[in-house]
Amino acid sequence: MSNPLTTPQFVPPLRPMTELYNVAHERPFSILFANYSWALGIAGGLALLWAINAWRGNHERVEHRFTLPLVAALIIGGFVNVLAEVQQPGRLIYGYYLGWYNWDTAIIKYGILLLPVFLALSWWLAFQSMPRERLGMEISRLSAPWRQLADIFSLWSRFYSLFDHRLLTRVVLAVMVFLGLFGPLYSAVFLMNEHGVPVWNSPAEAMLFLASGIGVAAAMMMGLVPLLGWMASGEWLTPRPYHRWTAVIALALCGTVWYGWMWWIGRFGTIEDLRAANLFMGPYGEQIFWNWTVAGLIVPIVALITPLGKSVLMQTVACVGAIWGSYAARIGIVLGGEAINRSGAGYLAFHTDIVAFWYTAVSLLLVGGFLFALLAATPRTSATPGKA
Amino acid sequence: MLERRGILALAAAAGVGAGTAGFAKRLVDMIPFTSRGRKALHPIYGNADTPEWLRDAKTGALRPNPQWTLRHTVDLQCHSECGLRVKIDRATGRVQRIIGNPYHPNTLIDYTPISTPMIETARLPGTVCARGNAGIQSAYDPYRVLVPLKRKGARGSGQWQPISWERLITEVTEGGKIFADTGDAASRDMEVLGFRGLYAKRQDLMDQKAPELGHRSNGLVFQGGRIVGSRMLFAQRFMHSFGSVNVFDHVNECELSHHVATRHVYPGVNMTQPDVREAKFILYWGTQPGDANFPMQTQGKYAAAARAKADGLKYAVIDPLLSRGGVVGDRANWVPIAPGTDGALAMAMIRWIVEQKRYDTGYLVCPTMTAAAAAGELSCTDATHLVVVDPKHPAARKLLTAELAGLGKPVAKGEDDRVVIDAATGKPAQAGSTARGTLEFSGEVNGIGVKTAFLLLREAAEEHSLAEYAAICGVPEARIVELAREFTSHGKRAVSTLYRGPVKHPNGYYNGTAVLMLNLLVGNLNETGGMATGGGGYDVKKGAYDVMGVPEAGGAAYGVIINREGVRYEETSEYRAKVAAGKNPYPPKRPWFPLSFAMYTETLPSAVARYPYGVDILIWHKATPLYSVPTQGNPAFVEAIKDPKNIPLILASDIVVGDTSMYADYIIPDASFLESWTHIDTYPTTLTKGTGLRWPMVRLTAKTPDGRHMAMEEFLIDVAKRIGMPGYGAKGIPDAGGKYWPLNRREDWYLKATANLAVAKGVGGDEVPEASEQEIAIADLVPFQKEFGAALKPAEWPKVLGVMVRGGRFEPASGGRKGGKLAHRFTKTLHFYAEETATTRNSMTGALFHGTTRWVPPTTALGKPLEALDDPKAWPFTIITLKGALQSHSRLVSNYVLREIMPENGVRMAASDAAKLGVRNGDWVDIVTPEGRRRGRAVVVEGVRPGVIAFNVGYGHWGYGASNYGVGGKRIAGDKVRRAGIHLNPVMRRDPDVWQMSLMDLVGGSVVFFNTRARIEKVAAKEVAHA
Repeated sequence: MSNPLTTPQFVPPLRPMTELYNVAHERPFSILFANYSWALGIAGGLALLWAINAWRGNHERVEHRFTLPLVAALIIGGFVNVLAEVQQPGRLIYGYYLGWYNWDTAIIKYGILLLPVFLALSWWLAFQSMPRERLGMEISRLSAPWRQLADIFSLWSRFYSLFDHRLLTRVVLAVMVFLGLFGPLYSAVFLMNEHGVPVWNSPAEAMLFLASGIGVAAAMMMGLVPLLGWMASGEWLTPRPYHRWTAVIALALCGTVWYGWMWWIGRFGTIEDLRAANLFMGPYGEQIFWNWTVAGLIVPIVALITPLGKSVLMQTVACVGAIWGSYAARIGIVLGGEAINRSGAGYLAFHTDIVAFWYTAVSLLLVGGFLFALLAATPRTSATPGKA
Repeated sequence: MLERRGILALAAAAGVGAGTAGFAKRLVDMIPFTSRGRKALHPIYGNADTPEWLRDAKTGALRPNPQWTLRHTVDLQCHSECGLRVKIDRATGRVQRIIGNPYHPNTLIDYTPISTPMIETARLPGTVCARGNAGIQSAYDPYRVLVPLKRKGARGSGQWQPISWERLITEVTEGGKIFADTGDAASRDMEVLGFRGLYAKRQDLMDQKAPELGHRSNGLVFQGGRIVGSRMLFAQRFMHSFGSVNVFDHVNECELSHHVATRHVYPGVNMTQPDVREAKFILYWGTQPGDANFPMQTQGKYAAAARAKADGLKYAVIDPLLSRGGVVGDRANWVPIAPGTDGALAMAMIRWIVEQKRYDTGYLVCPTMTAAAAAGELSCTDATHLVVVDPKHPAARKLLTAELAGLGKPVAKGEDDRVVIDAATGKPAQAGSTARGTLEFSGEVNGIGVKTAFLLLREAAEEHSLAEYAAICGVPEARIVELAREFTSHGKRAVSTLYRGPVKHPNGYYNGTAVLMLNLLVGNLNETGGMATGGGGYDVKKGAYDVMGVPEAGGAAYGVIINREGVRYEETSEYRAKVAAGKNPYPPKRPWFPLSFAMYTETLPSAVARYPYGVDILIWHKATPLYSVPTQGNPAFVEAIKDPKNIPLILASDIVVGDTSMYADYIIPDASFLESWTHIDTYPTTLTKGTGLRWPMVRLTAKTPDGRHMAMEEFLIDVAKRIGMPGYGAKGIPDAGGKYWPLNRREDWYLKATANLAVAKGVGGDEVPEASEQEIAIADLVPFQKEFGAALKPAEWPKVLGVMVRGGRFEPASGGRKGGKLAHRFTKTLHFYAEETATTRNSMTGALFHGTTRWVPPTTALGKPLEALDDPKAWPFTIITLKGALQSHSRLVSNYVLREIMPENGVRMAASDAAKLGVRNGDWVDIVTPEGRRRGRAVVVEGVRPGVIAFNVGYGHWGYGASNYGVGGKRIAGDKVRRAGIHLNPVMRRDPDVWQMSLMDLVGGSVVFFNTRARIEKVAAKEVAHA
């Protein structure tokens, strides 16, 4: 129960918190929100890195071709988790047809508008990133009905290439950068908008989710995207080396933000904030330390900064660790925020919700399904991107 | 490559297919995009109710939403009796929502005057607490008993058969071998005396050798659990007409010693409360604002408002337990006192205050109200009155009168016929003719040794030093001084108030009086920010009708109540016979309680022990003694209740098969609080005069053959009519003109009581307005008036409806104060010295009780110190109970919305104790007492005094839907939610010398909840797995 960041206002030792195991609290969010936040956050990070990569003209690299199917699948995964969480999907859109004033204070209106755009754009760009000739060749071989269907799904990408138009490309990539930032930030802003939950009502959370999204995305560029390329093409394609340092910096930033945030709370926080710190440093401390700090930050950073960090093994280890840690951090923040009893009496225990687990599992299937579908649609190519 | 693509395609198909299938329900929900499987009622508000009021967008005018009926009634989820606004769906007739009645004083600080039309209350409804909101689930409990049930098999077998109303009435009235069909060997051949047979014996003496016990008809006992106000009057009317004195509710289980102590300090008053909003400092003993108190939400609201003021309220909570609602911010603090030692702390404070002369001398020297008024005081005390201290004098322990003092003819009567030492002359004088008495005097008057009541208190306080008191109560001496100094630093705007905590001990009465005595030292009664007795309620017994009058009953109801309350043992034939035989009359078989009333906890053991007499017919009305009375849930006692030879006929009037009613022979379906009637007065806390009206919002029980919804009252009416009791049937209730009105259904009685309420003398601004057409429409009262039109004179209806639509009659909020002082004042002389107590003996030992309060250690009935009974080294913990804001009463177990928040209670223990025992929060522990053991989860907190363990009452049920039972051969499965948690009442300490009696306060009459010693045994993990 000791607190490594003890300050004069952070009463040492931390006051013991009573686990209100006997309180079944009706939480606004379950782990489905954490799923959604994670999926959109990582999708945003990937989109951001992809757009920067594309802006720099690296169209032949493995990350250019095989990132966006993952982005699209993650957006779909995030989306279905939201649908499962809100339960009344109809109420997600009523503001559009019943009047904007009904959404005076609702943050959801921005997500409802922008996330479909993000998905559509990612989907389209996934096909735009494919070699146009090969795509055309494969589609043209299909029978007429299948050909029409393939054209619809690929948004007729065999007939044109965005990247032939420099200005338009820049505009689209700028939009992609915006959406890539929006993805990680939105779920944090969403939580910040929920009143009376001190953990959620902090801008640190937005910084954390963004840095986490970028860090994990960079790790995925090294540890996962090549694997996707291999699955589609049978060749192991090497990504650009700078992802390694992007991941290290972003993950280090995560650690700085997290512990800086805890320090800030201890130094300047209100009593409600202190309760949050008590929870994260106290009852949740062990979980946070092992899953987030060690598995999610220290292991990936160490794996990447050592000379062995160039190896596929270390990059894969870093990728798995970062994924695990970023998910754990979101679980901790979402569930921990809700767990803090506003009366100060203690904290509320998390109770297993089989429905939430069910939708978590099936959303994983959906993400995998859509990802594999897009990979299957990827044309076979003799070109060897990444070997340049 | 094809293979690779094929695998990917296959994986894609599997993933998308399985994922889509898994999401099928949500995806289907998306198809209409306005629903989630079922269409939402409203596109924006979803499935939330539409509002009660509709607003014209252009004019802003409000009108009632015709979808809803709105009615005002009174809550019974706890005993705060808050006013409710009940929203009923006209289409389904179902209660949909409960909020506060803004006319009721409990629900708003500045509540709405009853002259305000209902439509104008739309913008400011009142508040209720979580329990009040949850009341819908009490009424619509799936375990409700809606038709009469008769046991099948042995008593307590858990098997029931539904029977008709006629059969119920016939069998219990006519008696005979009514259990022949049960298959129970113990009772099938038993001849049961029904109501008719017992009523026929109403002129026979219970015991020829003890005529004071009354008639055989006292063999009918009505043991009321939760029954208040005019519902109790209805039951009393029946019982008295029948010829039985045995009708009472559960007061001694709850906090009787508080009432008795209050009565002795504030003669005749059961309860006083602080003027919370204007007080500067309050000592809350054994309670805290925001937790159970009278009324809970109002106390909490007032305290919150008062402490928010710049120079507002400060308070200290003196309680072994710090609970959630009480101590908030830097204006409140917690004094974790050792259980049951409140008297020691209070006496220590008294000692310090007296020694430092920080009492209000100018107030205390006023010997009468006349003198007090002349001095500008609003009350007076007997501080200067002389008490006969010569133990050999015939008037020993009594207050000296003018005649005894040789002062000639008394100038005053009653309590003013007292003698003081005139401060002006230094000579004895009649109090009635003296402006200032001497506070401290010891000497002789007319040859009689006397002392002033104040001096007696001082001497009592000086029996121990501050250090000794501090050691007893576990509060440091410096803290005691700090509290006493603070208490005497705010003039008359400091109050010492209590609830159950200090009094549920063998020494509860003395603790209670000591706590209240502090108020007398600062003279705070009737003062702004001081102590209040409140405005009381309106008379519903008389006025337009004499609803209690049954002249033909002829006074058959007399004698000793089975609980032996209100009677001195020394006045009984038993005592006299023993003395005549040269025997030591002490102790009797069981104690007598001369100063007490409603000794509910003694009913069952007295009935089984047949002391002072046996019981023929027992009616449990919403009573659950086996669950709620300490010790009575023990197996041996339950077996005794199950034996029909002990009590031949047990009827339970209940809304469920409860923890106790499961042992009845018949269950009479009763109305829930949303279906029943009562008139119930408001509490002193709100300072104003008021009487709330509870009336049926809905009617859910089955109907009698003539169309009445079954309820306790309908049962009593039908029994009365069948056996020809006076006061029922055609010649039921006399009006003011002497004309009799029929009493064939409960509304015939309650509506007349409501008419009395409507015409009762007011206090200004409280005249009941006639209900407007709009209000009648809002409350949907046209059908009601049509159905019960004959119950009242036509001219009475408009105002009776006016009371109904407002949920009672209430003085305006402004009426509580007059000229900066409290408007409703109590003007009798307050008592430092309780003469009645001083001249009453402990029936078990023969020792006289103390007339001056003092620190009295807790003992058994025969005087054995509890410390010697259960060695604290072997039993290091003391059990206490709490009534939480979400769970305060056993009947709330059906409120799942509350259970969802707090499904279990657990055993709260101090973190330091837990650390010593190696117990972690959430561990399973066994609580072991000298009477048994129970298992629960440890809740480790800082807010419990070390050495104390606390459990929230109302958990760990075995009835009330917690266990399986059968009705008509159909199995009703119990719900584990209702079984959850720990209940320690059954293993609480019994008195070792009286059969099946809990530890008791023999002065005040309270049953003891807070003196059971225990030890904690951590349950091994292996054992938990098998638990």
